[in-house]
Amino acid sequence: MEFAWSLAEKVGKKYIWLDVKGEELDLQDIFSKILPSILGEDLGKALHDLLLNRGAFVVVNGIMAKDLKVKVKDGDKILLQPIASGG
Amino acid sequence: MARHKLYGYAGRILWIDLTLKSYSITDTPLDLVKNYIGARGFGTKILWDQLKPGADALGPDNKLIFSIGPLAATGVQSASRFFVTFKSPLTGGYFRSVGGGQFGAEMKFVGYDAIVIGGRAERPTYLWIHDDVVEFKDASHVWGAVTTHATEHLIDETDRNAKLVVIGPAGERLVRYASIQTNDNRSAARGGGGAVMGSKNLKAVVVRGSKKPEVFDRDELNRLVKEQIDIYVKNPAFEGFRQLGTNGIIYLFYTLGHYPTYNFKQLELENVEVFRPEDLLPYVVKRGGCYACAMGCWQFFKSVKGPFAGIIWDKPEYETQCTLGSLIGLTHREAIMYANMLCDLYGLDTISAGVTIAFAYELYEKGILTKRETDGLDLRWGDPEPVIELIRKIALREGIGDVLAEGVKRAAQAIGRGAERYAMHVKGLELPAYDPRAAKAHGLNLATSNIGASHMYGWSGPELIGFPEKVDPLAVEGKGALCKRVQDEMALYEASGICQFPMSSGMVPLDLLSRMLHAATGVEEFNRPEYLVVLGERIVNLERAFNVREGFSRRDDTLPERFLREPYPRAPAKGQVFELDKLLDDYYAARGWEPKTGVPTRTKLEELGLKDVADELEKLGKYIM
Repeated sequence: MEFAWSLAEKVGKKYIWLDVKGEELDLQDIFSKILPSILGEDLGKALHDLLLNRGAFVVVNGIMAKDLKVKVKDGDKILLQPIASGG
Repeated sequence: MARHKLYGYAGRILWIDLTLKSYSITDTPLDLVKNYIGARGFGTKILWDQLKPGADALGPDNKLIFSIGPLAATGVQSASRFFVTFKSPLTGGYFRSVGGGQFGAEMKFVGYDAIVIGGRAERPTYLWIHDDVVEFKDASHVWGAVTTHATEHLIDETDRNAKLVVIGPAGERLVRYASIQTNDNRSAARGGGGAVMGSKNLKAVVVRGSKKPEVFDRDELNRLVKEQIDIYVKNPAFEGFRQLGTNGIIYLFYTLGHYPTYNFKQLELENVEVFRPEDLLPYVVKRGGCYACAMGCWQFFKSVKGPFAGIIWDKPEYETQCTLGSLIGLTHREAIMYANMLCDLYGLDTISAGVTIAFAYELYEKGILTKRETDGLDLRWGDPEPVIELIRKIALREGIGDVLAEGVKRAAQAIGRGAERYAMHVKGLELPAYDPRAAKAHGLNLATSNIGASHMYGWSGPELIGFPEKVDPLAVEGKGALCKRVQDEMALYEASGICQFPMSSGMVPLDLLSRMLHAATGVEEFNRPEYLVVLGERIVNLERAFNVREGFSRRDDTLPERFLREPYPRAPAKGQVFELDKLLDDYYAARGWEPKTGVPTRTKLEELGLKDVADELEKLGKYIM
């Protein structure tokens, strides 16, 4: 999982590796269970809240996640970036 | 008949004839206000009325229309952009170019909703417009000067607080994608407005005024502006814009497949990580913004190392990082900053310049251009030095630069030998930094836009950033209606003079825009959002009618062959092509246009209050009976 921009600063890391133990999980599981176990409850909750408030993009293998029901498995790449726009 | 008082507006239009060195001033008509609001709407209607079909884009008959909206200089945020409307020397069709900075607000202060310029000055001239005085001044001493030097001279001899639009050597030499620059490193860059100014021997328009617009309900407007700012600061995109502007999405859009590389071949870009936002942020040394905009999305980058060290300049925007960077396989950030600065100094559109250079690089790779034809330049992907030299050659029309100064469409025709296949344009306008195969409604916008390949004609937020709703960018179904919707919305907001950045992120909701327009102008119709939605559609249809009158049809609503036949090579759009015919049919159906020709039907035009336009198209034989 890659953290971009201010989220990398907030998390203190650019990348983390998630062990999903061969299971197929959804993003809800990642943000509500796995991330808090790695980053701590407070930071995990802050990231989860950020998503619920449309504060960040979640991109799974180059595709913007439509919601937190998107499935992820071993080998998938998740990018989390604060909302930005323009062009 | 008593003249209706126009609140919010300056209430006057200035008409300039450069040939005769004369001018006149008319009142801003109420029906123009009610049907077109201002800014882009005014430009569209005036160009339709004033320009005869078939006029030479670089001849004296072409008009150059600067216009602003009723919210400019009223305190409403992000609402003081200026619009330039003209027949484009690149596309031969309708064009509108948009600029930021302070010039739009100053136009309001000097007392004009629009400045319409026609004719051709006998010798280099600039206009000095201050309050009720219009002066035709000799510009011989700044003719040939780069934009910043000309600016410094002109404000020094007029008023240090004056605002101006100016062209550089590229505009003087009629480079078809020459930009119009304004103080503050901003540009109305696209479509060749700078060449139109150059063709009129017009170096600059300098304005300075002291008239404050009177609004209909000041207390209500102040309350609404406060509401607007509250929405801004709570919006998740706000902080991103303030920190890094459009550079916040480069790496993201590369990941999503939108950001093109190698003249749209879309090969993997080695070292793309240098465009991650956290890696660009250290370059920022100064920030700024347009007149009355809380968002303030300008950042100035400083280069400190390598052969391009020593500049502090407005950062290359998202588009420029691509067109002068990844499209050429270039990730040398300081070189891109330098190339961007050169384009501003010479007065060149960075999108068209970059795409044209990438085109030359691919022709060189394919052996269509040889070293002899490139004046000895070795155009190897990723090498920045030839980019810098080509910008200079294009701006000054030297050697190969003279061919490339015509834009990719005409350059490909001149070069021949299959070069057309690598010319990435729509209707003659070079493509921006998006891949139509990776976002179908956005691609459809590029294909159908009345100004050619412009991402700003209809930015497909639902596909690109999942806002206001998330839409699968690769799906085909429903994309005609989505494309129509974003194009019409953009036309409405641009008629109001509003910037696309806050608008596309939801910071200026339609209901708020409606209330602000009403509070500023007192025009009752503006208080109804549904009235405004139709107004946006009216503008797009009139622009289309202008192009139909010039001979455009369905065959012009297309994309380069690369997008139609070459499958996208990498994730996440791997294998995708652009399904042109199906998408066009869907779009014309959503628009109510003739499916075979792309001409607005009489029914549609009459529904939009454009019966006279339908009559003219019929008289010209544009309807198949």
